[in-house]
This record gives sequence, structure tokens and C-alpha cells, in this order.
Amino acid sequence: MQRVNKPFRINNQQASALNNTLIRFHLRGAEDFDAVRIGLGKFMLNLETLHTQYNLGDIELVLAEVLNNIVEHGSEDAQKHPISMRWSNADQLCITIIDSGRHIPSEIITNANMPDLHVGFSNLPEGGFGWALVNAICCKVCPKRRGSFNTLRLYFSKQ
Amino acid sequence: MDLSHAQQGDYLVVTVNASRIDASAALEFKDSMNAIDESNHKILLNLEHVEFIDSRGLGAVVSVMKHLGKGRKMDLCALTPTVDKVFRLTRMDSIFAIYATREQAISDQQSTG
Repeated sequence: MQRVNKPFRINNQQASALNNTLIRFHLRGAEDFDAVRIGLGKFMLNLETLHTQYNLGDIELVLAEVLNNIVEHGSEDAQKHPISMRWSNADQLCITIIDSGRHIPSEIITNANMPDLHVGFSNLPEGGFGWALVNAICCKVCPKRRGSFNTLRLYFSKQ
Repeated sequence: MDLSHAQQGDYLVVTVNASRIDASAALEFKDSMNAIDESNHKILLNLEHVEFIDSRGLGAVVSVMKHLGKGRKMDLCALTPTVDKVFRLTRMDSIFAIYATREQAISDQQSTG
């Protein structure tokens, strides 16, 4: 059977929906979680129009975990360049985060499991949930190291 | 962090008057909680105003519970959907007693003694 290839054209409105606003923010020092809160708040405002398609609470949690991790483990390298975030929405929502912090091997991210809670009261974990939460919520997580930058692509399914 | 507390039934009910327990608020939350020293009461942490918690906020809640010690319980109530999801995904809902409402928690304590 012969397939007819329709020409792929998009109008301006669709184009802007496919590749959206860039948010950049600088870390002003070590453990600058306030900068994360402000940057994340700005980014979430951009996503508000998607609230019928996606669970924005889930997305905010995932982004908070990723950004907190950059802040916590990013050292001075993370402060050299701004953290940048952008999104595109087609069949899935893809959010890309680029930072100049320390490289985290991709298997540490993608193989992360929830900490064991069968450990007795005084040893209950107070951390170590971050990447496991990211993996539990995202349908795909793609970390890449390019030069001195980390590029993390996070994919979310429609609800 | 703005916390209000009042004794109700067997509980000292501590209400978090903030919309976020995130990484930027976690330390403040811990300090404010640990500053509430009302001797031997069980604590009911009322999270009805908290719309967002991340894993550092969760870690702070766990830390406060551990700080109270094994003998003094801390239960939770009125989790908003996003907060509830974090407890479920991390399975911390198996560690804490979680009640839908403050009233339910209080009446449950009274009926079980």
C-alpha cells in the first residue's frame, strides 16, 4: 500500500507551544535552596496552561528534587553558570534542565531505589528519596554529560 | 516557620501555617518543631495548609519524629493530595499514622484510649 506523506507544517502558535520559555537562574552560594524555590516558582507559572493535561504537583516535585540535588552536590562549579530549564509539549511533556555542577553518573540516577524503611526507628532514613521519586513519577529520565554541562531530559505522560 | 499549637484531646495539635515544607524551609521547620516543648503530649501534625513537600521536607518531618523519641508519637492529619502522594511513593505512610482530618485523629485516640 502506498503511503502518502503529508507535508509537516506548523503555524506560529503551534511552534511556540512546541518549544517554550527558557527560565534561567543563578545560584548565589552553596546550598542556595531559596534560589531554587524562586526559579521553580517562575517555571511552574509557565506550565500553568498545561494543568488539564498533566499533574503539575508531580512535575513540581520532580523538578524540586532535581534542582535541590544540583544545589546540594553541585559545589562551586554549579555557581559558575546559570541553571537553565525549558519545556516542550507534544505527545508527552519534555523538560530539559542544564547545569554546570558536578557530574552524576547516569546509572546512579536511573537505578535509584527508595530507601529501605525496615531498619528500626532510630535508623529511619531522612534523605535519599530524591532520584527514586523522579524515577517513580517520570515515564523516562535521560541524563547526559556534555563537556562541563549536565543535560537532564525528563518526560511526563499525560494524565 | 509559623506553627500554631493547641491541646485537643490526647494530642498537642501542631498546625503548619505555611504552604511549603521544601528544602528552603526544612531547617526552619525542624527548629520550630523542636522548640515546641510541651512535655509529654503526643503530637498531631496538621498539614492542611501545606500544598507542597519535597524529600528534604519529608526528611525534616522524619527527623522531628525521631527527635521526639520512640516513646512520644507523632501522627499526621489532613494531607493535601500532593503531600499525600510523597508519603505514599516513599512508603512513609507505613511509618506514620495518617488521618484524613484532625477530628478523626482525635476521636480515634479517644475511642482506643
